[in-house]
Amino acid sequence: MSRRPDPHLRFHELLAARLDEPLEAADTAALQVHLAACAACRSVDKAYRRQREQLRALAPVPPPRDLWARTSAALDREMVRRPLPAPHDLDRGRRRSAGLTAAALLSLGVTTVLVGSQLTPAGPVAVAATPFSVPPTTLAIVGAGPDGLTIYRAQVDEVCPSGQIDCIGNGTGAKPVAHLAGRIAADSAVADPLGDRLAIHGLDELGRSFIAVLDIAASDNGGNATPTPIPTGDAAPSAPTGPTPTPPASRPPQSALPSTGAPASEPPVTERPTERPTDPVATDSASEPPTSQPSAEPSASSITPPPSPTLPSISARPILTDVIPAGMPAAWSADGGTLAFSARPVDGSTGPDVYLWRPGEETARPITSDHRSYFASWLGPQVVISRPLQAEGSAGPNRSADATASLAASTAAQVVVHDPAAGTVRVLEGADAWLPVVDPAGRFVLFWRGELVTDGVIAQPLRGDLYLAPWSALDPEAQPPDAGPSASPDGTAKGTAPSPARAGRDPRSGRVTPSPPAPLEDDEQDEPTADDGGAIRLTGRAAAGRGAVLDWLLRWSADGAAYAIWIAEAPGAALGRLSVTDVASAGGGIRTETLLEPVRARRAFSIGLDRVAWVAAGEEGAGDLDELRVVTWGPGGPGVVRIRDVDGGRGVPAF
Amino acid sequence: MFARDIALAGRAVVTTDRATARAFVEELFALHHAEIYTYLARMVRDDELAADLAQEAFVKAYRAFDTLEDPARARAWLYQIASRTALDELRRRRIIRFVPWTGESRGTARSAEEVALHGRLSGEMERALATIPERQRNALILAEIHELTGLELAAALGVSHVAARALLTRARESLRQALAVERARTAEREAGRGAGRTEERE
Repeated sequence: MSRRPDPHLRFHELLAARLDEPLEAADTAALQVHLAACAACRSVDKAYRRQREQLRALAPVPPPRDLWARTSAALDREMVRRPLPAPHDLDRGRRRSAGLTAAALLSLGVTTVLVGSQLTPAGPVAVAATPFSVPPTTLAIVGAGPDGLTIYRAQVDEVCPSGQIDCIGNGTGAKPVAHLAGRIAADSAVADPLGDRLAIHGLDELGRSFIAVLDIAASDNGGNATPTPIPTGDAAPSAPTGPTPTPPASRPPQSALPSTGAPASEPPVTERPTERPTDPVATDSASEPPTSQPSAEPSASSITPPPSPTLPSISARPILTDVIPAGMPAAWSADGGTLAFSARPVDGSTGPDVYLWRPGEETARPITSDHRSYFASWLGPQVVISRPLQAEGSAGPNRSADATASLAASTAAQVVVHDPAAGTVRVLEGADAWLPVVDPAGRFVLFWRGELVTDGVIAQPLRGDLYLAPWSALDPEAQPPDAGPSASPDGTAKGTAPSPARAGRDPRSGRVTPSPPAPLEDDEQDEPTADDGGAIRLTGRAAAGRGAVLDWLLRWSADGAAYAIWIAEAPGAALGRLSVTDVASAGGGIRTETLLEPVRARRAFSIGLDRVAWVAAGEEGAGDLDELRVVTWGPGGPGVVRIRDVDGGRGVPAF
Repeated sequence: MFARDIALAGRAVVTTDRATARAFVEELFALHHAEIYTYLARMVRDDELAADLAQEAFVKAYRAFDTLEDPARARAWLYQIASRTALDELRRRRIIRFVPWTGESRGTARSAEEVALHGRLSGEMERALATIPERQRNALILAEIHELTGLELAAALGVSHVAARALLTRARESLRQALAVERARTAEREAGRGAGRTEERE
């Protein structure tokens, strides 16, 4: 795509830009050369300068003489009217005061700084749509700038009716609460259920890939912006219980082991107790750290850096470095006690293994050593793992020179359930599924099924689709969902087509009740269909006819009542389409209802109990910035709210 | 869910002295109300609405007093609030962009001087400004007319410094093109009037 067909446009931009700040020497020189030869651009230069003079010559507009009287009266009313209600005492239609939000954050022991979007609550101006309150949930957002990561928090307690996102104008605001210094990029973040820790995958200033845990509870409890001590590479400053290094239970051979932790001789991925610079210059693409992971979108630009010099610093524990994540994204167990993920060495020497990390442990420890284990999801205290079966004619687990040149071979997928406590592994015989993500209630599972290929080291989907099924369809030991099999005896799925109307939803419970299937509205969208395994193919719905699904993310809400699917526009693409669907067993089948029609979204998103947060991509070429948005579907009905603009689509949200 | 956070939020209290906040906002009003009003009037192109929004901005400043850490930056902070207020309103009333602003106040009688000033506002520059995207207009007005620095502008717009600069660059180009269109229209109108007078004489 070419957005700049006019060769002069670049010089027009430079002409405009130099009115605000001096250009780079190279740009200045190039511009001078061009101007000398281009009369049209000289004319544009003159126009810009004249424009500036005219703007500065515009006369002030005299305010009405009664402005002070009106404002004074409004302030009087404000002082009387707002005795600072409790956060939960929100009348429908009454905006919550920004001061309260600020006070709430203050009570969390966080240094407050000004963020414009926090100041958005409406005053006396009439609005077309009235926001309504939803159960407050804190959204953590990881933003990145040239000097490190900043953790923001936004309290999502009020939303607009569906389709009326502008009722809160610029959104609810996000407040920086902590800072992690260093040239670090993050492309994914997942908060533990208590919101005390964030697991992030990112790149450090040397371009090394790492997985780290940020103790954001410390930033809450500090309360006085006291920087944490400089951690040493082998210390564990973020662990509340102190460092208790745990040797890996079953270390792979040395050649295959990604370096874990941060040796003392290497710069740790941690903060330095430094003041934030007051010049929050955002990172541009040229200064972003390099990425060795083509499928990731380094989060190296910024949500607006905070203007305060006194954010508390936090520490990040690198629990595994020099690795590339594999399989589904890292996930915390339901009790928040364990983080699970899979990763492979960045040097490509072996395939992935599954790792666990618990608070207090120095590094993540592998629970597999076959170098072909991909983390899929938690199943209660157990871990669901996908493995490609060894393909005939393919290379072995250790890549050889010949193997690198060999063609990828088709392989079948195997699903195993690993019980870390018991140390047992159970193979789910006949489960034809790749990366099955089980809902937290253990009733349903989302997975990919199709043709998988491997070069002996890495397994990759070649063509296939996403499916939804009762977990019992894959795991014979599982109980079927309360109402029996997922498909009717004739094999027809009970999934309904996307329906904008939410008929059949119980407004009190927010759950879906059976309703007649709605007609399809989009020719490109296939109605979910059941296959003979009782699984419903979802691809048509989620991908809107975009072909095979090769790069995707699946996440369940905390209660397992809804799932979010993100499908990349192309493998490795930063942009994709995000949809959210409610699911329930009903009438002997699976009943689904669309909660969020597919929207264009950045890769990072997060689903909470009754809400989803994502970065909505701005209109290409329209100059619109990306926006961090939240859609809710609680008892109050569907709602939507804009949290704030995101520069470059690089905010990473986490409920 | 952040149950702990929610619980803490429930116990939150505001310790700010409201009288102090009120006095501070009064001082802010005395110093900046004229420029804030001018800014808002230029953004929403409706005198009465601008007055409402100015009032709203100062009330918001009162509410958000807690969040102002550095009084030396109060002016930029106030512009930040006013900017959000204006953009919120414009988002609610997309149609405003397309309604010609006559420059006439609905609320108060205007002096001859004021009428003359408004005559200037209704010129080509004002019309051209009104046609460019709101965010671009906002950036240009704040930077050029109200002289916010790069960092203040970024804060007011809620974007990074780089993004604010890029927005400003786009705004200048949009305005250049819009001005060219306005001038062509003016020339067209004047040519039409000239032709009419010629016909009358004949």
